[in-house]
Amino acid sequence: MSIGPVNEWDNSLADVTSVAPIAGAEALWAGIIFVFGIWFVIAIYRIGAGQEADVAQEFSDPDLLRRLLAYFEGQSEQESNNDT
Amino acid sequence: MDNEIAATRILLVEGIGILALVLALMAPLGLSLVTMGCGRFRNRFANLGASVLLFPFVFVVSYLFGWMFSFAFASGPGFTGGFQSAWHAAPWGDRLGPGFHQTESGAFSTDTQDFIRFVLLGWLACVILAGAVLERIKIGGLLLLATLLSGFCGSLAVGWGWSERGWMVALMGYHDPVGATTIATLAGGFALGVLRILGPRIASVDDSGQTHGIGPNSAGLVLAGHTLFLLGLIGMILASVELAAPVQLGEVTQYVAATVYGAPTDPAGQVLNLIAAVMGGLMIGSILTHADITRTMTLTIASVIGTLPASDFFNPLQTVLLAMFFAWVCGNARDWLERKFNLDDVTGSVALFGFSGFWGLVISGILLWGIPVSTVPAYVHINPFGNTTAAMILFWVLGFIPGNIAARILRYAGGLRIDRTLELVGHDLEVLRDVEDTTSAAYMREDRYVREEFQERP
Repeated sequence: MSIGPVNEWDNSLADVTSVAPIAGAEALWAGIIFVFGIWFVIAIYRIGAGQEADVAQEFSDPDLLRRLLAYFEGQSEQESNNDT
Repeated sequence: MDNEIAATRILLVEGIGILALVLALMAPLGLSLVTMGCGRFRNRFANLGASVLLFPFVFVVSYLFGWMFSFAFASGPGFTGGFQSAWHAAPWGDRLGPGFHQTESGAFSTDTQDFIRFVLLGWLACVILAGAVLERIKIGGLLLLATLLSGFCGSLAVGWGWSERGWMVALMGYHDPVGATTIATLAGGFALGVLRILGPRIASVDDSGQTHGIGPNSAGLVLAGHTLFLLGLIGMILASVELAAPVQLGEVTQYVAATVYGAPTDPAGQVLNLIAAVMGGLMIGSILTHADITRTMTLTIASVIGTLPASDFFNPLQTVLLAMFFAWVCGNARDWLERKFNLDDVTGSVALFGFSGFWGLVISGILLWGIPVSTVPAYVHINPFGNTTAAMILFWVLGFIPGNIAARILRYAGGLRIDRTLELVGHDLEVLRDVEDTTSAAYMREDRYVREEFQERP
């Protein structure tokens, strides 16, 4: 038994177009993926907003932020020295 | 005999065609590596992640409506039909995917391969855009812009200028057989429109408000990425050629390699011209950058994009000379955009892709004046007016204007630029912390092992 359109290969291939199971439900898959796409963009925005909020809270002290930037600067200088 | 022809076509179309697509995948993948190498160290994983994330998103957008749009709006100018012939590309159809759909000539349909090629071009356009706006755009905003760029603007560009029935091809003699220059011009214009609204990174602006470029965090990654991109273009050339196409030449039907416009072509000659463009770019780039290989390779990209529209006709020596011209002009244009308009274009997308594509189309229109773009007698031959107008449509009408308007809307809705603190700190903080934590933990374990095994040994 098969839920796909191909039950046997003893036919002309011209009669076999799509071979995907549950043929005829393509519009349903398209609809589901469309809704998923919209949810996906919203989810990515939410993840980004969460990251922004976390960082803003953690580095609300300007001194801490300056120390981190100085640390990054030191790291890149160290890497440059290592390269040369 | 019929079976032999069918076997040959399957070998060429299914075998070589799929290998060409795999090779073509290297182009957007290479540019993704460039985005990783060009941003600052604290953003490099986020940059790569955003570029790679664009691939599945572009796939979904293309499947749902981009692919169908490219057929629906091929007629023109304006909306003058074409909808009826677009239903086979609808997302609720059954043509995309495994199957044995046959064309009118009895051969198996190449829809699936054509669609993959379309998705790769869409991804390429979006990675070009991402390269320009790195490090300060919200990923969600980038995805929405990618929807517009690949799903609508890119689809129109492909339908109008990179298909046999495109109205720019039929009425204006537009010619770009590989399609990469069409997409590069479009994406460069789109990126310029977005950048004008997005603004530069905090780190690139000095006290007087002047923007200064920031060097790459990894020259090696940029170099490797550009090299992969060039390899990918060879794949794009092969993927854009229909091998063993039955073409009606006079009263005889011959099996030849044909462009997307249906005209006979020589793929090996196109690859030779691509190599000649690389040679020209490398030579002049070495002089202009004092043999800095990373910057030389960057200029080479402009050389290749500029010469691709005529790669099926140019003499290789002409290509070398023009490649030098494009590298020089677009390298200077990148500095000029930064100096004059404070444009902080991280990977140089506007100049290296947009400008070189634009001028490549204009110049190829002049040099190829009078050559038939297709075997259809009614089609207009290649001419300067057609290619120049098409270049302006691609860069400004389909690129800059939609990009600028969409960026304005996103900025108004607060969905364009990330928070300033996050921009300063970078997206990779958690990744860097994880690396530091695991490294420290590993050190502690090693230290304990040494203490237990060596120091406490009698």
